[in-house]
Amino acid sequence: MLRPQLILLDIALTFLCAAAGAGGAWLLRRRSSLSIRNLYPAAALAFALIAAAIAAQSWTAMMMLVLCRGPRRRWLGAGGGSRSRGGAAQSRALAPVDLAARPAPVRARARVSPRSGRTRARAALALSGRVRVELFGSTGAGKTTTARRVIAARTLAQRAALFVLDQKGDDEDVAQMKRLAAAAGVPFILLDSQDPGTDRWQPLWGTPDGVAARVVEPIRQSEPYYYDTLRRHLDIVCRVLHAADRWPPSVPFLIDCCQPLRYPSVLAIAEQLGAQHSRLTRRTLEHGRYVHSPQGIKDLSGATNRLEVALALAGRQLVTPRVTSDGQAVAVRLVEALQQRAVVMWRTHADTMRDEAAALSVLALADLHDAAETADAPWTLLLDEVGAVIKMAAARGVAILQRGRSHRGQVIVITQSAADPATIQAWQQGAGGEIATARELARRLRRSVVIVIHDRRIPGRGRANIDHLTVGRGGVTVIDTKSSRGDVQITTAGLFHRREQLLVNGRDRTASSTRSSGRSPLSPGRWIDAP
Amino acid sequence: MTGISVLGALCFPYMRRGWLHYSRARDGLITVDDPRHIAKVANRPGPTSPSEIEQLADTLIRAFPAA
Repeated sequence: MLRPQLILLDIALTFLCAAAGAGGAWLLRRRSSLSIRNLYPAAALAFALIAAAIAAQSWTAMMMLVLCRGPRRRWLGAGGGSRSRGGAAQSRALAPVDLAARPAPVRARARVSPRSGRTRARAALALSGRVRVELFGSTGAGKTTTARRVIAARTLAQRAALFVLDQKGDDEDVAQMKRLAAAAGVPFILLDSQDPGTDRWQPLWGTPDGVAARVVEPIRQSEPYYYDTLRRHLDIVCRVLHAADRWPPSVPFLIDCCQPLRYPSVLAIAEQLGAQHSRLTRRTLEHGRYVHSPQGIKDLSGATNRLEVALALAGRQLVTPRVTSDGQAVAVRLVEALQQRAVVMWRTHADTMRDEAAALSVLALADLHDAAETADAPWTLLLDEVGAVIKMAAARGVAILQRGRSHRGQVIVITQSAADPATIQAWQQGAGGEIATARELARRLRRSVVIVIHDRRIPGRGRANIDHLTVGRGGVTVIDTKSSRGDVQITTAGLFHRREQLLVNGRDRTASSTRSSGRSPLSPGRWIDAP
Repeated sequence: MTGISVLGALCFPYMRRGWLHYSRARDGLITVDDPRHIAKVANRPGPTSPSEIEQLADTLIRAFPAA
């Protein structure tokens, strides 16, 4: 028999459930992009399971379903020894592992299985050529100490070559690397752009194609137009020097050879080559017309100067071979250092010379990228304080990470910002769009009076930048490049207050584009006065 | 040299551009288009002479250092 209290309770429960459903739907609508319809199948399934549990009189299962909790151990008659959510418990104790006997983990963390109660060792950091390690944290968090453990294990236990790109240049780091090299019985090479007593570096080795591609890397991101021009010119100069057996050249010598004024000497060398190089001689002659044209002189002088400023002024002595007492020019090549499992350390002084440090970092990463392919040997690369040069070296950074996976290399990135490793990849996507835009603008505006300026920083606005600026007869154009693909539309929305919307693949991107353009002090529509 | 106009552009190098693409926003102050058409905006006619263009470019280079 139905009692009035039971009926009232049922009605109250029904209203309560309806209110909870309406509230949930409202929250779903306001706080997420999901529709309530997404919950219909899940709700139907939950009701079916609860009904089945009631029918089977399985009250434990029904409690689990209603409370959405896993079975507690005390329900199953166990003691309350383990305290943890989800049933997992971890001991805080860290047990050191003998590296020589078992080089895989650096340290093992004891892990207690909640089901079996057994203790298992779990690797905290794996030592492998396929595993990348990213360490981020504030000063004093232990990033460098952890990285030292990894590289020590790789160098001592796995006999891997070690490359350290140190942006800070602390003497203690140098002493540490020296001790590590001595313990491993391998050579230690220190490359410091500010210390003439350190070793010299020969980044130009291999085929003429490879050298031409590598030497222009430092200006690839910042000067896409000059990059193309110089790359084409260097291709011929390198081939002539290679054919004339003046190979490999040092960086200062090659930059000198690229000057338009030196081209007659290159041409003279080409004309002395034998008949087997007749095609190269003809190409050199034909290229001479462009080199001696007003446009060629302007382009090549600008490109060579940019490269010299980016690279050779800071590191001229670093990349100039040392002449020994018996007259031999000697310098370290990374491919041989890698084969000998050496410890190589660059000190780039990013705090005082940011641009030069970035250029040297890019060249070092490009050299290591090629050396890893040639030398079949394990290696470790430690990129310390990568945030200092991330923008310029990001493309190379991504390339070296990929090379590490395929060529027995482990890359360890240390940064103070957790955003930097993600920024490398995000920037890589964005930079592709900026380069594509820069190339197209250079191609379209070559014959006009328009001056194009790329990638400028906005002083006082942190990392905000302007992708491209053009100055022409009609005024200034501020260009922001977006790497989105697909349909791009401008539409108007709203009945009473009509507003423009930027739709990318149907999604409203008005806010993000307004934010980025709003950072620029050169707002569209504003009229500026120049002195 | 006064009264130099400034226009903005959002450049999508990988966009799929339809025939009827409408590229002007904010009353024509901002152009949303691919690099080919942005180049046309950059090369718009006007009264600025080549020497003034160079002077203006130098000013902008000094005002906005390389990133």
